[in-house]
Amino acid sequence: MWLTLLLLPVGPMLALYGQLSNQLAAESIARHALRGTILSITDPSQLPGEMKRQLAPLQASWGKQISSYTLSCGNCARGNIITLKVLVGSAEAVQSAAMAPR
Amino acid sequence: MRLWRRDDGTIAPLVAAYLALIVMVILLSSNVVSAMAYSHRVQGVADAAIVYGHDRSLLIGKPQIATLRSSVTIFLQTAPSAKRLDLVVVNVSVSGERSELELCALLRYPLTLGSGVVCRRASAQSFLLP
Repeated sequence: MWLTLLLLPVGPMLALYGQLSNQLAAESIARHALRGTILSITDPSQLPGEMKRQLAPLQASWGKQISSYTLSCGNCARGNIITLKVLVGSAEAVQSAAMAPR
Repeated sequence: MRLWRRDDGTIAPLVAAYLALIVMVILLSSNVVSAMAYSHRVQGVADAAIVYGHDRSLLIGKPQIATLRSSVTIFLQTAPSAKRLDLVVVNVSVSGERSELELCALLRYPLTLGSGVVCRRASAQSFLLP
């Protein structure tokens, strides 16, 4: 009985750390992927391909699997705000940035 | 002669202390990791806001403080990532050809009462490429 009581916090603790670790990874991946993409592209049409290229090494370095990601930029004209939403497990991170207007 | 040794009592206080220690460690460490994740979010918004403002405020290579301030404000009001933050300090400044931004956001700890403030700085400068 005592042993059960002593081991009781371990399960929730591991689940909590898993969630926090996913959140940390998602925030970092979203920030660095969007920043790298904005600095690398010269035309909005390159956006989806470059984003995919930036995300691959980041998720490998974190040792996490990105569940999904979405990229939204309105009509994707130069100067528009681009928003990247990354899901790692159930942890969600959102980052926004804009391409130079000219 | 044989000696008999016998202990009476309970280990309940030990278990209670152990559980209290575990709960404290969980709460403190989760606050630390949450703050780390939140600081990534604030830094990302600061980086993007200063680049957005700097790009739109340049006049002959130098950022104009009034335009920079209004552009950063527009970004912070419209970007979905910025709208998720509870901003308490937004300091915009220009130092020569460099635009600078200090952003502080309120962090509410997920498992404990109380809150903290996470501050991050970002700067941007333009260069002529040969």
